[in-house]
Amino acid sequence: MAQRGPDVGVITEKTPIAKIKPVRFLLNWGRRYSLWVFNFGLACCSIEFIAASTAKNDFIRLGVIPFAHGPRQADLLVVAGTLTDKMAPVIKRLYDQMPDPKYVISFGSCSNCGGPYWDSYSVTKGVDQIIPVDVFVPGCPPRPEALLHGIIRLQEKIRDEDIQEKFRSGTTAVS
Amino acid sequence: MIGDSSVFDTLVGGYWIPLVMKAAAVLVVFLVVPLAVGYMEHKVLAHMQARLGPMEAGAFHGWAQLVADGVKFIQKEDVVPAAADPGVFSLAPAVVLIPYIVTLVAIPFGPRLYALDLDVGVFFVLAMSSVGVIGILMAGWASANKFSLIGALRAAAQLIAYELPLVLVAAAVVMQAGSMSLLQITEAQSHYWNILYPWQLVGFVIFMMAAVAELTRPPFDMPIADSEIIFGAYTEYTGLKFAFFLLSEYGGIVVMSAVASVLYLGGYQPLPGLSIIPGFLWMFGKIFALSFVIIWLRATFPRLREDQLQRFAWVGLTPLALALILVTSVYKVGV
Amino acid sequence: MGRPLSAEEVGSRLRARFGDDIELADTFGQVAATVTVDRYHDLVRFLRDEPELACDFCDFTGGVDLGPDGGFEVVTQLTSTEHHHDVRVKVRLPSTEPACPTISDLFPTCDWHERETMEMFGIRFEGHPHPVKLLLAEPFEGFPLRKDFPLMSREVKPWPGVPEGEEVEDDE
Repeated sequence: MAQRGPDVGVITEKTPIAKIKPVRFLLNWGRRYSLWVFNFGLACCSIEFIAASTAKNDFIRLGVIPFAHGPRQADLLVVAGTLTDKMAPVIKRLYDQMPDPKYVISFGSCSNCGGPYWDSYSVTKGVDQIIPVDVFVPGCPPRPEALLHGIIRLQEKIRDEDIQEKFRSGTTAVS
Repeated sequence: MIGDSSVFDTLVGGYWIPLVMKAAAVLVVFLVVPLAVGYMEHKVLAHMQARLGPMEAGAFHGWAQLVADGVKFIQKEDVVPAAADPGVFSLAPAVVLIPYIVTLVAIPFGPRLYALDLDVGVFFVLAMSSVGVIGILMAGWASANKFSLIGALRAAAQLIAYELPLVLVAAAVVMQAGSMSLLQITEAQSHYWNILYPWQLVGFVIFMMAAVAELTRPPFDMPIADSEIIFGAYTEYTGLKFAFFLLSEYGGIVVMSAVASVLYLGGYQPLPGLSIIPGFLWMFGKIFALSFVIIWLRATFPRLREDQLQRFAWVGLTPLALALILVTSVYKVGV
Repeated sequence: MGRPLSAEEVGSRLRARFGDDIELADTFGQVAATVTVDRYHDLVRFLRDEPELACDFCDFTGGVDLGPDGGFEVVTQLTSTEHHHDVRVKVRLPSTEPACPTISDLFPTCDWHERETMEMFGIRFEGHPHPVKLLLAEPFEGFPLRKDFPLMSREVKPWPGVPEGEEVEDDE
């Protein structure tokens, strides 16, 4: 666990320089095109995620560098697959280990809302009950192109983001 | 030519201004060339794997991908684990990065384009590139993480093992050229590049393999492979410190390629008949060609296991390097 | 290098050893031996150690809920990798306080299979070295695979749900 709270770089949090339009554009551009993804592949959707990283639907094109070595080096968490109640504390812990600013894509219907297993006794109905999600990609499983679309939507969201606002309002983590 | 001082000294007289200019030039080279090599790695790996690589960051084929990475890493939260040793933890990236920057001081990029002509150039370069081991050990120990410690110890064992063949074949080159100064070694190859001697060709291959192992690049990346040990010594690093480790990896590739081109490929010496192209373009061309080969190795070979790695160094490369020194000395004395 | 025994031959060997404590049935060409609780462990040991049977591989250990009148059943499938024949062992247990001896000392793989059966049916395995939940989260109450376990989501929306496109009043 970290010794101090999110100290997200002198530039973005401490100084008002991040409010100047061109600087904000530059910072958002950097965050947008350099998403290191920590694949949290739980079930069948992870196969589609891996397919999206292979040659035909290469998501490195969009700047999403795949297979960050661990949560500490990642910005983007793609939850692909069914989240069971036993796995829920684990995903919370890994999400907490990721340094801010971080984003989450919920990939597939199991992680969106429990999916086809919504009536099961052991499935968490949607990963957004545990961690805050930025983009939901529907499908069972979604095609790799759907993941590319989801990533582009996330990049558009980051482009229009005010990072100081994001940390002031405390919307980065579920309490 | 030998005897001419570097361009920085002749441009402005005195001591302090050329010093600042040299330092600035070294820093600029170290910050720009590894980024180019990093971008080249993305694209080379991509095209070797029949895909495209970064295309969006920067309007033309994603040339600014690593710049975006840098901008993002500045904004990341700096996480120091609660059980970690904060001083050592924060210092480790510097200890890994700065020796590579300093090594560039002694390398001649052109006939008069160098910072310092050290009499003990080869010795200095090899010594500085070994200091990084301490940084890895610091990172692994201070992280308070079992996997980091194992990764750091593996890295230390590997780097020590591959230091021997590296130094031995460099000694063979020093014998061939008769001097340890990198500038003199380059000048001694003005008619005949070192690699054209058959035993030096073997030495070149040994040097490249040992250099790749020194950098813990695939196929020698057991200490940092994520399917083995998450990220080894660097597991707990985030943000700018992690970016420094990445920069030191690519910087190391540049430095090792530069040293190999100076020792074996004639540095800034042109191919006969093509001396119209200036020396520093030849040097950068050779650096990028060798970096391409190092990246090509990553795309091609599976990882060596730790024991295979150690056996390869101690039973394979080191005796071969010793034999090489023997052959070189016979050549120098006899011929 | 093994001789697969037919169902009758396996059955006759088991009958010779266990007499009336065992009921035999033929399921799809393999023997299903239903045994009493106290001879379960002996039967599995006999199947494993007897050279002509040599059932050295345990495929699974599972449970069956036979409803309020039928009690529970623990089913174990054993295979011989040498002789290439299979035997299925069943144990009938009462509906209240079902308990059965563990075979994890004979087949270590049954350790986890029995943990799963324990948490899903509530069958107690006596002598099990580590009887904690395997797949369910720690605070879970109840035994999901029992027939009388209420699936809360289906209390609200009973099977088969609503045909697509129809209006649904969702108060959840």
